[in-house]
Amino acid sequence: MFKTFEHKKIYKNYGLLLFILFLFASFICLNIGSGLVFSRWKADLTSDSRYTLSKNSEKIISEINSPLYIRVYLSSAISKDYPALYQYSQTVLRRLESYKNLNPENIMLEVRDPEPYSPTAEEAKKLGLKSFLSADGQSELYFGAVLGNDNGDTRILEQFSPARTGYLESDISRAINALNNPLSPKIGIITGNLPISEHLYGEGSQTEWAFLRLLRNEYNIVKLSTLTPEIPYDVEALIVVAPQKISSLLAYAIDQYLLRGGRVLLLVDPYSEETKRALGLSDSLNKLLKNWGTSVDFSKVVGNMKLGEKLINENQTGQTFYTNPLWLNLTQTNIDSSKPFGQGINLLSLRSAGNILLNKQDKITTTALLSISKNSGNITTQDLSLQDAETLSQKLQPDEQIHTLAVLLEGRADSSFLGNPLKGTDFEKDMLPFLPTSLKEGKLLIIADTDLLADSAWVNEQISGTGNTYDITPFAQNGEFILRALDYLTDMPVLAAIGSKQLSGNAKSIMQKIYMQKLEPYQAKYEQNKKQLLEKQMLNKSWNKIIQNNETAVNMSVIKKLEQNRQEINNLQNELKHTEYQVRKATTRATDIITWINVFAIPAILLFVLWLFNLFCARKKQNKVREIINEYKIS
Amino acid sequence: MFQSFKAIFYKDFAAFFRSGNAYIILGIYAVLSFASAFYFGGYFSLDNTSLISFFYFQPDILTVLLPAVTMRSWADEYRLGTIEYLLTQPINYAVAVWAKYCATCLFGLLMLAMTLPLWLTSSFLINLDNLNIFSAYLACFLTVCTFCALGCAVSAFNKNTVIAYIITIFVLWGVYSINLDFLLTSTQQFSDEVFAKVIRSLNFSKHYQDVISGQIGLDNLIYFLTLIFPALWVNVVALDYKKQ
Amino acid sequence: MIVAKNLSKSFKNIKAVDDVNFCIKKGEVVALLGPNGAGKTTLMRLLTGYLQQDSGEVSVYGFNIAENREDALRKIAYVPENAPLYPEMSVYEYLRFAGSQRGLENDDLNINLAEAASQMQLSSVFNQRIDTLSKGYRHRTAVAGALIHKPRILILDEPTEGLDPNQKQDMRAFIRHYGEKNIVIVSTHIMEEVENVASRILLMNKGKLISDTTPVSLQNLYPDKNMSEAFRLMTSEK
Repeated sequence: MFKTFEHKKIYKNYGLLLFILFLFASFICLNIGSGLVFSRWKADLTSDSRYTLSKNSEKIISEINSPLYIRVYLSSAISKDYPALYQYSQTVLRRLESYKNLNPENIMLEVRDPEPYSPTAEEAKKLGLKSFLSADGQSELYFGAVLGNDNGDTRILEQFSPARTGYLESDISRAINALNNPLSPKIGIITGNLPISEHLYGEGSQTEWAFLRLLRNEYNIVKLSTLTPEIPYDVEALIVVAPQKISSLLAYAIDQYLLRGGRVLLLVDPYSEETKRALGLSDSLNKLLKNWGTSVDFSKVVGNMKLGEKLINENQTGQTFYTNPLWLNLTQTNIDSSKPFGQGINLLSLRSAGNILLNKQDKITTTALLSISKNSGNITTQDLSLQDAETLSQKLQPDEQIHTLAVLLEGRADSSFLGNPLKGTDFEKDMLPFLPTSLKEGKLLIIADTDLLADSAWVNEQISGTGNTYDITPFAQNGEFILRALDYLTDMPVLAAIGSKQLSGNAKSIMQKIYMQKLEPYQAKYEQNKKQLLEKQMLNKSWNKIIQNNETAVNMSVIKKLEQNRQEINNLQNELKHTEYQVRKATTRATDIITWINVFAIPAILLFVLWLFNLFCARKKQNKVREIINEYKIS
Repeated sequence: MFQSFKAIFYKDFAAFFRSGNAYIILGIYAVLSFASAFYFGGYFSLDNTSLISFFYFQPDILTVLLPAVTMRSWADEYRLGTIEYLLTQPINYAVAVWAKYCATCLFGLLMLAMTLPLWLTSSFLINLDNLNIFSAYLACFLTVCTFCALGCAVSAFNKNTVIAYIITIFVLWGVYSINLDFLLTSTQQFSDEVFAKVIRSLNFSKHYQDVISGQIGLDNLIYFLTLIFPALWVNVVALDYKKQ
Repeated sequence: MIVAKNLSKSFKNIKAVDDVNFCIKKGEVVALLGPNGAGKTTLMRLLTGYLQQDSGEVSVYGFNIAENREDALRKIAYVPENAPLYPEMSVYEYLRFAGSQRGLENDDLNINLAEAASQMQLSSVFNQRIDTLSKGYRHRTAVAGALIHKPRILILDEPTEGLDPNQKQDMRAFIRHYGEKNIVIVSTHIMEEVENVASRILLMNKGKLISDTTPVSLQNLYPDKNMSEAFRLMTSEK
């Protein structure tokens, strides 16, 4: 066909070119096809199933039937300034993509880069996203999201934090659910004298407890007075904390509320670690509990050597470790998972919890939620207030009984009252009529500890203490347990079942981990010094205030004391800095060694081993060759 | 057929060690991989439960080092004249190509195996996500397989190993840096629009990131396979082309 | 039996092989004779399937090399010019590789390997790397590699190039001996070699087969000339 070479060469070259073009076109077509068809189906090869949404989240997403917009504000400078955060941002985006893939018709995902001083940055600021400074401190960076729908409802995830990795699904699913159901259920809260309510805090004083911030994010929390004779009808669940001073009027209100189908989360405590006081329960509330088939033993607290928290004691001879048997760290085996809010709860921290005694009633379903048996025993509250934890641990006598620390009661009961205590008064007219027995099935969840609500029991230092909850980094799941219990009580089982995937707050970077290891020998002293420093700084502050205000005549002894205090502060600061320096030095040395081992020693050893192996093979081959020469007599 | 495959495969794989190149490549690869993870990848400061500091730089390192593995596979045969011997053996060209390709892939696997001690040493330091690390190694292996196929194909067109090395680096760099995301707006990045999906499906980094993140799908496997098999096909065609 | 029918191959606008026809039978040692650039190597490459002909066909014991390449090549062994080898391999490794390539394994491989090495007297360098061998030994190694599967057709391109006189003598003796029961095709431009080993001469010039004869017939054609002069006369421009 092609007679001359030129023709043939052209034919050959064009043939090859066409062939390569054909392959290239096939590559593009096949990948576009597979991208369109398969890109949504992925196998999740992560130990914690990071990208797999729970069935409950899937259910929430499937309920979305109008457009839902997820707008992520992610500053591009993060990739340069904060590589760890950037790395986390990719996980967040992948997670959001998996949400979108479940309902691609209705979920619109968009990523915006709020460049410093740009309209997008202004927009992020206006929406309430939390900013942080760039590495050079010159500009504000953002990594948060706004979820919104066509009705104009929005939910802000003010900042994604790697410390809350385990809560990512929970945070997003709850935000989406809130958009699906914009009316937050009303939760009433009645507390004794525990400092959990917002109005108790003045400027610069301690922040609101994290559990309440967690609840506030999901629910409309209303504080009810301890003198309330009737729980408002629109309160979907009631939290009652440490009601040792409860009036019989309030007991009547709770009683009637439960009989009308109300849901109550009751936290009682024989001994409050927060207030260092033995608490009790009012007779009227005791009666109520009896009618619901339960009672609380206020004379004893439960201890367990195995579940007790390990603590360090610093004394003159050095550091000693001891177990406080009353500070219980309950694990999965102690937590009932038959109810959705108990699933996935792996660690609850309780402190000097009481014993709940069960006396099952016919019309009431009883579920022991938290219970311990082996190595457990009781200690009287009297002993507790007098002796230190180390002595108490020696005093604990384990018995073989099951100790129930929390119980869920669902069903119908009779009233513990014979009639309305305000009968015959003007108030009676405005109240609902007295119910001698249940009108509707009620739910009563009793936890025999109030300390589990305290920040110190479950959450690391709070960053802002205001607004949203995305800065809360828990080390135990107390807050999650309470929140999910309320979800259950307010008939939102789907939310109640969405738990965290892992506890955050654990040091994940190797540097942090090594630092913590190196700090360990100094830790007790370091913490003590920090505490002392804080105390002395407070003291200094108050003295300075006194001097400034000329409240009392300033004499030499006060000035001397102030000077001495300042000196001590300096010494403590120096000591702390010295410890930090030592730890940092030790950490750097350790990282240098690890680097050296990995970068140089290991490759050298491996190559040497490989070379030895090769040498061994070569020798073996030489012997074989000799054998062949001899065997086959090669000349 | 299998016997011939085995013979060529063994010859090529053993050749790395006979010439001593293996030790140089493996040594450089291990040092580069570890050094990049420790000095530039933030090994100590990042959340390294899935050894991201290590895997992040792998495509870059493999882009530079794998051409050194593949450059000799055919170019050396041309240079030494042994191609004439090899191609007059009763063996299918495709088998010869496949055998040489497998030898380079096995060497690539050996390179990756050199880095396994990092997995071990890191496991003493933090709790690792082993499943994710396995997935990331799978991503690296797929990258090695892809780069080897492309490298062998380039080598089949060249008589000079140095030129084969340089061209392979460019080809691999070209494939690795395919990223058409700039064609998308921020709203399109995660959208379901066909255009956006088309653009995303062609990005090498997207597929690599998917697998190292532990999200492996058929689309990722197809992407790598659609690079590997055509490259091997081109390799066979190159031998046939030279025959004419 | 190897048959070439109307075999042609061009490079650029040069006809390297031009309409060549021949048939070689068992027991023949054929010398492909011709000046440099006559197309001897190209013809050999066409016979071994390394190059694809533009037209014509090659048949090896009934197998068309274009259609049944692998079957045809099973019967052929080819040692290209300069005996290319893998320099990092030892002689033993190379022979083993060559044997495995031909589907030999275990005892068969060892026996054939030993036989080929003995034939080429390689025992003293058996464990030595090829890049440390002398040219003679390298050549012998290449031939041993070709002999390992006892091919029915042995094709050698310039087999004595670069060998010392003794080695040349040995190689020629081997070719003569091997050609008694098989087909050996030797490309050369050395007349002495042709006289010594060939039972038939295929004389090529500018890609064309200008003569298919025997050494005796060639000598008879120019009775007053020696072989070299006869070759010169036949291949000269005039």
